[in-house]
Amino acid sequence: MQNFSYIFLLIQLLACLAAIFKWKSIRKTPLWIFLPFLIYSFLNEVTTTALYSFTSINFRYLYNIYCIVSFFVYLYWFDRILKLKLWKWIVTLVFLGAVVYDVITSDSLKQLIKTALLVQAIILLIFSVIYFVRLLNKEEVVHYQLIPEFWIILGLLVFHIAFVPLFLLTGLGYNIQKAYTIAINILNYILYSSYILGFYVAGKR
Amino acid sequence: MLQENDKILLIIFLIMLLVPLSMVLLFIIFNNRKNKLIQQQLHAQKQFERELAESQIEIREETLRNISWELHDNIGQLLTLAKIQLQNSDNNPEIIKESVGILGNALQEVRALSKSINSESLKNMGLLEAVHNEMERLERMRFLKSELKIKGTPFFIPDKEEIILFRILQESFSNVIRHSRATELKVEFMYNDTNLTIQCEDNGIGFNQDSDFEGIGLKNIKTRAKMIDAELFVNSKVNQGTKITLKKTFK
Repeated sequence: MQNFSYIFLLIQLLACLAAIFKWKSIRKTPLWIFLPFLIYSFLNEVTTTALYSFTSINFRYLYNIYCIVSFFVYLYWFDRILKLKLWKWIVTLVFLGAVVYDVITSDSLKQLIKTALLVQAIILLIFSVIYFVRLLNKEEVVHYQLIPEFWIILGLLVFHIAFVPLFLLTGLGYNIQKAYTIAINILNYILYSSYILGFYVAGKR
Repeated sequence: MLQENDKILLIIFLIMLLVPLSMVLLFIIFNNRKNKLIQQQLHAQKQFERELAESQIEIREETLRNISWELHDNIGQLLTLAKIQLQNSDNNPEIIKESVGILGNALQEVRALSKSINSESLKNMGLLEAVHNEMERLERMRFLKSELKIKGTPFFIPDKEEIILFRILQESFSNVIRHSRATELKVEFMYNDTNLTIQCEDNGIGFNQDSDFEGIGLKNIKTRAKMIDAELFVNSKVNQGTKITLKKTFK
């Protein structure tokens, strides 16, 4: 199981390096946000993996902070490319409502903020679908494979299409931790590979 | 029978199967859309080329018609006059001098005409000079008085678009001569940044836009304007002349 984590860390590191190498191409686009975000994600993952391997300290709150940060990063990015206007405030309110609900109903220091995670996943799924529908109606679609956003959102869509039902399944109380971890790792490989592809394409644009 | 845990694992497997399936589906959708758009673009390109070729043929035909008119009504008349005068001159130096003057005029007309015969003239002259020559010709033939104004700094216009623009103007002038009974024609070119606005205004009888708009040759002008992504505005009222405005942004 540890090997899956190490492979995941390696792919995350590669995504960070891709963002650093292509920084010149992305720094003046909304994609810039992904460099600090990916570095933060990588450091967060290294810390949690280390804590899991060498100590018995509970590190769930680190994932919870990551969940909140990632929500705002994706919201910023989607707002820049989809021009969400009023919707960004509505979506923020819904997400913060879910976070508050989790904090009230469970110990957010020791447990994952599950409702917030699910709300975030559904919101990102909807944004991804909206992006693809809009792209299909633009002339840009002729060169869709050269659009960095296409690859990153493809990763996000694919990740969340499987993540949402998997996450709902874990809430039913079955002992599927091992299969769930493997599945989530595979989804993460796809997500971070799509980041790498996105940055590669951004360099070519 | 499957155990409870096996069932769950099967469900997880099916969920994970969604990943490649959604990816394949997405690529199929995007590729189909891409191919459809490429086909549409190719079709539009072909249509543009066809329209362009047609415009070039029409410009040539119009030019030949104009040459025929000029040879018959203008140069022919001058030469006939000179011939008659010389035949009846009886070596009268006054009449001979007058005839030489008429022949000189005829020569000038021939020179002016030769400019417009050149099939490459639009390419060589550019849009402004071609329009200027066309308007000069209208004056020479005493069809009407014309005025050409240029505002701003002229910029480069690709050949293909120049041909279509010239054909639109040529067709407008032809409409003015044939239908408007106008005595004045004003054409204004306004260059602003990458925008070009062309206004063509006459003081003729005009027409009722609601009833005649599509019927008097404007359909062609509209189609060609659309072809080069230019905006076309036609304002006309009965007995108040007609004003055609073309707006085009060049990238």
